[in-house]
Amino acid sequence: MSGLLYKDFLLVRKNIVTGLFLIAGGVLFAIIFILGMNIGNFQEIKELPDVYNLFFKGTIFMVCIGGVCTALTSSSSIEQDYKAEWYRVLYSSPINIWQEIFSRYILAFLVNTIMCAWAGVLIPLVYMAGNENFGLAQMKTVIYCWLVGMLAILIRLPIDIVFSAKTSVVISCFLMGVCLIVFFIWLTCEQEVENIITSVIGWLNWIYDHGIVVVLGVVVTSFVFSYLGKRNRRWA
Amino acid sequence: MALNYAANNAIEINNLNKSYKDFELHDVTFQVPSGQVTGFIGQNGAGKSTTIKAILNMLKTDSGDIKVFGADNVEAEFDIKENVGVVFDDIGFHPNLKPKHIDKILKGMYKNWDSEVFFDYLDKLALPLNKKVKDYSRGMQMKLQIATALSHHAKLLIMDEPTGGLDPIVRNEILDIFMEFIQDSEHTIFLSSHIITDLERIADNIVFIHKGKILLAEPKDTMAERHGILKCSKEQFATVDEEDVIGYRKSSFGIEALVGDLGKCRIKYEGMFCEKTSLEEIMLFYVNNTQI
Repeated sequence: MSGLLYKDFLLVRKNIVTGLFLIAGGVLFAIIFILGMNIGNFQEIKELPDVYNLFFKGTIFMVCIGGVCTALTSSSSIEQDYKAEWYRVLYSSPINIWQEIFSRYILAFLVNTIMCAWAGVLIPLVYMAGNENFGLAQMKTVIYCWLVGMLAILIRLPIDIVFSAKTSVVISCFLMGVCLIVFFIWLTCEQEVENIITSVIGWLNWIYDHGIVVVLGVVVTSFVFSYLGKRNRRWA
Repeated sequence: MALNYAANNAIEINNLNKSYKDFELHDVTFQVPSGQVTGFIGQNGAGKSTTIKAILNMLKTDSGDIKVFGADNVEAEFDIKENVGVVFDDIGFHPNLKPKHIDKILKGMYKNWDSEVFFDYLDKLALPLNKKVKDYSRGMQMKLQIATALSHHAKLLIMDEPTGGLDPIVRNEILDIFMEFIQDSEHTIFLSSHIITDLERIADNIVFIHKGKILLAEPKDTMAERHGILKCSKEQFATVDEEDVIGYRKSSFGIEALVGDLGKCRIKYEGMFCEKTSLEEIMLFYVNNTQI
């Protein structure tokens, strides 16, 4: 299985490097902007707490989401495998379906973890630049994003594994579209922005508190779907 | 299930059936003797690749059983694949990989992978180490595939059109590698090919498949000894027993017919001209006969 992991890593290494630079770039931009607020006309922005908070926390959130998106691109190795007809090599070698599936998950988890860890290392710099307190509570954003990344991978990978690359993109876009529509309807029905934020934080807290249960449940379901789909697709 | 390398047959296929919408393998039965080269011939779409995929458990068969080194190909799939080198007509490696990457990848996939052997083959086949797969010519890609198939100490080589689309010099080089591989009495080769001259050069046995059915499966020498061309006029041909003739065609001199027992026909049809023929002619007559 280490061979498969190495192969997948080679295929997505450019994505990883891009992701690392993306996060570093986001952090650098935030630091420059925050430090710049202390001079010139930007001083006024700092005195508007809502704007400042939105920018400050928004940047951190975007940095973390950048990591999650990079982790999701790790599934591009599946598409590259199809293009190269890698399955001829794979299915004539002594590798079983479980090893094949595990290697995909391990790579995606590793990329997600690397990205979040990198964000976790750089984000304190943003807090330092803004003279804000930084502790474990502030790291929650990174942990949330790591959890969201894991969930996104667990949902996306079975789709990528079971279907071809094109179909998988269509299904993923469809699912994302449905989620966005539901989210949009909810936003328009809910008048109080504070309620929305409280609800989202509540959900994230619930996942955070019941992390093991949620992750185990989704992992098992995701693996079962991947295995069943792969087993049938293998004969195609 | 333990593999038996001393078994008489490296591969045994019995009554293999597989149906698709527009094609079927029908009761495919043949053996690939250990320590020999067996050529698998047939037209495009005759069922060669389907049979090879069935041997490798890459497709689900409807019925029949396949044994490799005496073990069931499904039950002992991974033990078998550890000892089988496979070459397809197209390379399955990603275009941006280099040989050093392929070495590391396959090292993590095969227990018996031998990097030293792999790099020795690359050196012997003059394959550049620093070039990417996409920059290799077709001949080089085939050589790379063969090097990977031989670098985990495989005892059986299964190849699907390994020399297709290659120039005669590269084909010759590749055939030399096969000849070197088969020098070890434990090694067996099973290869499909359109190029009958290649098989005439290296194969000990021939299996001929046509429209999903095995028409011939026997040693090449027996096949060449047994078959012959009977040349005669139309009037003489009318006196020939139908059961002696496999296929016939009209020529400028009259009729040329393929007979299945050359010795018998030489005695039986004294006034007619009987001679040995090539493997290619035999195949053509078999195919045309089934088309009549």
